Amino acid sequence: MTTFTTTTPGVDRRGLRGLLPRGARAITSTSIWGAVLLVVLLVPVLQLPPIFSAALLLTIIYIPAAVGQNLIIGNAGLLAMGQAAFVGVGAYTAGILAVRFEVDGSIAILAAVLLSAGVGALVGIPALRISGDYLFIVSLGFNLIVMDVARNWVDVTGGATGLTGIPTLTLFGMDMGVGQTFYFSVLVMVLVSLVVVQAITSSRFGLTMEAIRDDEAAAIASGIRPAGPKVQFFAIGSALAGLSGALLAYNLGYVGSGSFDVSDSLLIFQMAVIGGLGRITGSILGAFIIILLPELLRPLQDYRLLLAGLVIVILMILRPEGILGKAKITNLIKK
Amino acid sequence: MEFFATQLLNGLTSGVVYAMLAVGYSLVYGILQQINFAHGYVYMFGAFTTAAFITGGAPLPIAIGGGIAVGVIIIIIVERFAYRPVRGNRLAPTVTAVGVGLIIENVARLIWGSQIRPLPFPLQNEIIDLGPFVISPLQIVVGAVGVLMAAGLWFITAKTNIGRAMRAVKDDLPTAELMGIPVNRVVVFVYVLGAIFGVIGGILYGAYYNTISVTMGFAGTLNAFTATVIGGIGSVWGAFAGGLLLGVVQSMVTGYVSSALLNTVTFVLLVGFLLLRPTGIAGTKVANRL
Amino acid sequence: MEQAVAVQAPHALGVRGLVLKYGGVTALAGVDLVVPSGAVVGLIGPNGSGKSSFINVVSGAYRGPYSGEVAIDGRDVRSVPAYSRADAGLSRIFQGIRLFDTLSVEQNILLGAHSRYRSGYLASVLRTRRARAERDEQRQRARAIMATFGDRLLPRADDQVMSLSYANRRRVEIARALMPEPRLLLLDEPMAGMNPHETEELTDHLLDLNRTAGTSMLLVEHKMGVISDLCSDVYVLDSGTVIAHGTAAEVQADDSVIEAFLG
Repeated sequence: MTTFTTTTPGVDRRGLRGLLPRGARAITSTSIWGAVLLVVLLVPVLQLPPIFSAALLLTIIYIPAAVGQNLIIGNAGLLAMGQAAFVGVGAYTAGILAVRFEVDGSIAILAAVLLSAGVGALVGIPALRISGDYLFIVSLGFNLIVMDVARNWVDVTGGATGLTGIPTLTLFGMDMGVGQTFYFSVLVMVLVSLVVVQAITSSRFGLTMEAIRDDEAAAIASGIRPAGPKVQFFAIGSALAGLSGALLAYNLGYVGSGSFDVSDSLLIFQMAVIGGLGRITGSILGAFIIILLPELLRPLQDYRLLLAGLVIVILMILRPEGILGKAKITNLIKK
Repeated sequence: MEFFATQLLNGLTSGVVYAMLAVGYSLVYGILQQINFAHGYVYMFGAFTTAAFITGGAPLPIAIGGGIAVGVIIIIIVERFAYRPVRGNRLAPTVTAVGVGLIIENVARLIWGSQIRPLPFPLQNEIIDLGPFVISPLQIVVGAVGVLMAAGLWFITAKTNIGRAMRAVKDDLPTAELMGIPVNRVVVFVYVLGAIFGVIGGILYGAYYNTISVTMGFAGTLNAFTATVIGGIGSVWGAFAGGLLLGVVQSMVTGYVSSALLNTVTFVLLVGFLLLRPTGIAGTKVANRL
Repeated sequence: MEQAVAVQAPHALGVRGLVLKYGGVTALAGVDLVVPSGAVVGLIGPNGSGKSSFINVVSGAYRGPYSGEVAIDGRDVRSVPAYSRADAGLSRIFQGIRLFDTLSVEQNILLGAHSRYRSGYLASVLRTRRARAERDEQRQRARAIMATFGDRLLPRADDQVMSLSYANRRRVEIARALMPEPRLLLLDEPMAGMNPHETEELTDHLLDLNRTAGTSMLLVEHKMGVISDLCSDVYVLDSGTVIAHGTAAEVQADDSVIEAFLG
């Protein structure tokens, strides 16, 4: 997820635009962002059927988790999954704070993000010593453990029945309700998170992370210490998942142990991979494809996972970096 | 004492199942360095197929044969159309395997639903009373099958031509190709062998516990993977030992401490070995053993 | 081997009595090697002579125990981990070119300056004044270094390095290695895979570099012509020991050297 700071205009870029004929390449990253923004801003105005707007809200809520996954796999090159576990950590944190301690949404969400970041960092440290192939199974195993904890720590999490009665989101004392105000609050928070991510990935820090991913030995020879950025990106990716979790808790009013399963992790993983590794816009696209598209095509609902699997298999053959992903990235990830 | 013996036997039985799974998995990983994430899902599908045959009234050999056949067909298709095209890439095969797993799991879900199902099997309700503890003849069957299959595998890999070819591919695929070994066929053979082991393990699992569910796919992969790591990547005997150890430890912990700790046990063993003894019990790969 | 000169720059590389054993094999059996400040020194030897082990000890890639002294810019680097050796003044290029493939030429080169930044990661994300100033400074240096390669790199500054020719990729690697103004530049077969024309061009470039910037170099190469053109001093390694040391001409005429390569 870097923006090449170009000094030479018209330089050939990678990604989807590389497939377009010359004239169409004038479509830049900015226009994709612009189009998406336009759509999400207009939607409440258009008075679309509630099912659609609910699906759109859910998509937007999951974008940070997908972006976080992309940061970990795409930018840091660490094949770690199990994002749903951190979504769960965020959801339960926000939910518990909101229900039991009646804390303002701003604090609950912040706490969710920080706790997810912390757990992510803790998990990231042993992950340094576990190489690519194994890391992804271990991370999914971790997912299972978190699920078990959620199911069994009844006093805290409500066990299998879950945490109910989460109030509507209050931000700095103001109740955001469940309609348009809630939608816009979510949108703003997600956009802010995306701006932060963009700031990170386009910075020297982000570039250094990509260098470590591309060739760790060369990075070390250049004086870069790989451990720090890896753990930090783990934490950032998990923090984003925590944000999604907190927003999810407020959206549903309820947090149950069944929503953060391995299959949910795999879905988030697919959003990142299908949409395109290495680019934020990819994860946004991925979220839309995985969550919103099946909503629009109602009959496909039941087959959503099946189709996602098929898309992945075909995509890996034809375009392994994903729709908007960075070229050749999949040849570099894996130790 | 009786409780201990019961738990031990239970653990050994599930251990044999894990061993079967792990062997099938370890074969593929040891020779092709590919994590066959879909392995557990194939084992699940095979078990379901056999259950379907049995409840449909088919005789046992047909049911078992049918389950194995379906598993083999699935893995042949998967290898040919999903794995082989991405063999050169480094990340893609792992991602593809996830996609394949999802496809298999959801096809199973569409056919058979998400409910837990039984797998009726002869000898399920019989018990042999050995005084201080009881043993089920099914446990003996499971154990015997496991040992026989492992011996058969050893024979294939150590004593046959295809076994030699497998080892050549493992050591150096491009060179094996240059030497005229039909690499693609060997690869398919390895996957098929892995699938057979996996499905038989799945059938044994379903028979012993009399329950199967579509979600056992991932659990199967996780257990197979853990057993392989414990035993040592690339070692068949290691995978077998790892499976047994995993089964026994799981059984002891869930029996004596808490049944909620099942996944935690697996996870702790997995991470523990990866961090502390990544070469597993078997240690570094022995040159001519698989 | 004491040098009786008081006020002189420390050796770019000073290796004394380096002994390296592992797995029952003695990879290096007491190697003495000096790269005086400002010199270009060659290291040659047949396959299996211990060159790779030597490079791995100097670069820090080898983390195991060894005996002897290894000093870069006069400072013993035994306890300096590999990622801190750039700080210690070491830059290297790899046998078989290691670049950050999905990144652009300019980005690759900029990353070479990592050890020179005072502002940290957080500052770079927050885009503090100091971070921006350092970034601009390094970008200027990168452009200057790219310019020394004529029109090979500058017009391609924003291209993904993956798309570059082999020779250009090598040039990017060298440019990246030069960014931190290294005290010692370690070149591991830089001319491998290059045609005679490219080899000549790169040789001239390195000579120029040594003359104008005084960059000290340790050059590991198989092409004797390159060694003769560039190196004031050549060490010949065989089975872990230095069997000859002198000028390129002297070393080439040495019987034991000829035997080591042919025998």
